[in-house]
Amino acid sequence: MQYIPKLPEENHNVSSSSPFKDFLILLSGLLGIIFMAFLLLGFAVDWAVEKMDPRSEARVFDSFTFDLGMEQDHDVRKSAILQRMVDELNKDCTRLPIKFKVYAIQDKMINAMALPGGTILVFGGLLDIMESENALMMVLGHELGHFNNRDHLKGIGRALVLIVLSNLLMGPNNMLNDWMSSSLTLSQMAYSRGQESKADKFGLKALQCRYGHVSGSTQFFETMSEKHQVGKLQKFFVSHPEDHDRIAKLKSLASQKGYGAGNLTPLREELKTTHRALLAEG
Amino acid sequence: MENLILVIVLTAVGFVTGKIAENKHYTSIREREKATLKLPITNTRKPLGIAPGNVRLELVTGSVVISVDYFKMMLAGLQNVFGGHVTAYESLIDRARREAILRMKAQKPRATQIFNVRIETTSISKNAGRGAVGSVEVLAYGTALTKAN
Repeated sequence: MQYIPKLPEENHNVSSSSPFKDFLILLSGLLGIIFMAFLLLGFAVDWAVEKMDPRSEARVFDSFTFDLGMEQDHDVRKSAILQRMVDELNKDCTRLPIKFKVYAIQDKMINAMALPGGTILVFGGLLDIMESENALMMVLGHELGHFNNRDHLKGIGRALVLIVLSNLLMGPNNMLNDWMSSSLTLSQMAYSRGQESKADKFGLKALQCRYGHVSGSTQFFETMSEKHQVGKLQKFFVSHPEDHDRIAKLKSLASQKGYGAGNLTPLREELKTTHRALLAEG
Repeated sequence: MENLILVIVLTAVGFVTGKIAENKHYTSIREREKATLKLPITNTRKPLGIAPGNVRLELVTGSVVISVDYFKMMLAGLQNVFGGHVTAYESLIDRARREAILRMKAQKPRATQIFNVRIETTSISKNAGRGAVGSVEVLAYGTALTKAN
């Protein structure tokens, strides 16, 4: 036998495919699958969460803290006043089977929001532009309307799934979780006009029930549209456009239902931002 | 977030450095294979074509440890998810095997042949914990036959 020295022409033990291309294809496939799972789970949660009764909702969301600074930045005295307003309104009029937690947040933002679990945030900027208790009650009634219509739970499914996924993949306290709180805020912002107008209707009814008249119901929107015309574009307008439209709708609804006008109850001074607090804020 | 950035950076670094190292290694392997082509290696139990006589038989070994780079690890991880050939490790094993044989040959460059060659492989730091970068050891050994003067 003769040995003929010869090297193999081709290396059959190594695939000729490009590793980089393989990597990209597989990675995009995996990300695609994760994304699909995220969407599907999100929709599933949205579907389930809207059908959730308030008691289990409270149980689920009790353990959630929405990192919006409500623990640190809320004004205890103002919160207590607002809490009593909401509790009385709910006891006498709206009768929702939810235990509300109301926080007055020291912030210039002119907004109020309804969060899952019965949490209502009222921002300082909103309290400052309120001219009467009736107007504030209208806003609170509007937020209760969102709870009544389950609006506050719509759209949080993807946020929830994202929290779970990001915690699984990257551990707690990561960037995604920080982003989540803003995303939850955004889902709050994204109420449709239909949802807003339904909540307005609910608020108006609550107002009529509470005071026996609906004076002050449109004050908030009037003030806002004035502010708008001055050119102070507030964050609020992202979610609450069409002030005039809403004022008109409220007025027509009031006359349709025979809701009358009456004396406004003045707002308690404690709810306004004090001069000293303003100075402290700089 | 930091973790994600770290993974991306490591993958990119692994891809570049791994590519450079691999190309360099393959160049060297090809050169040395050509240079040592005259020394035949076989896996038969007995030497080929040599009449028993005045020869010297010795054990020769060559071993090499090659580490997987981060990019290959990520690619293999993805391929583990979807199944199929783990092409990520193919070049790694190929390099290790050829390098081990070359080192074995280098031990007795004057031998006329190396027979009964066996190749063994071990994975090193397999159990070093999740996320540890693995490496592979390939050991080639055989019997070198040298004509005694």
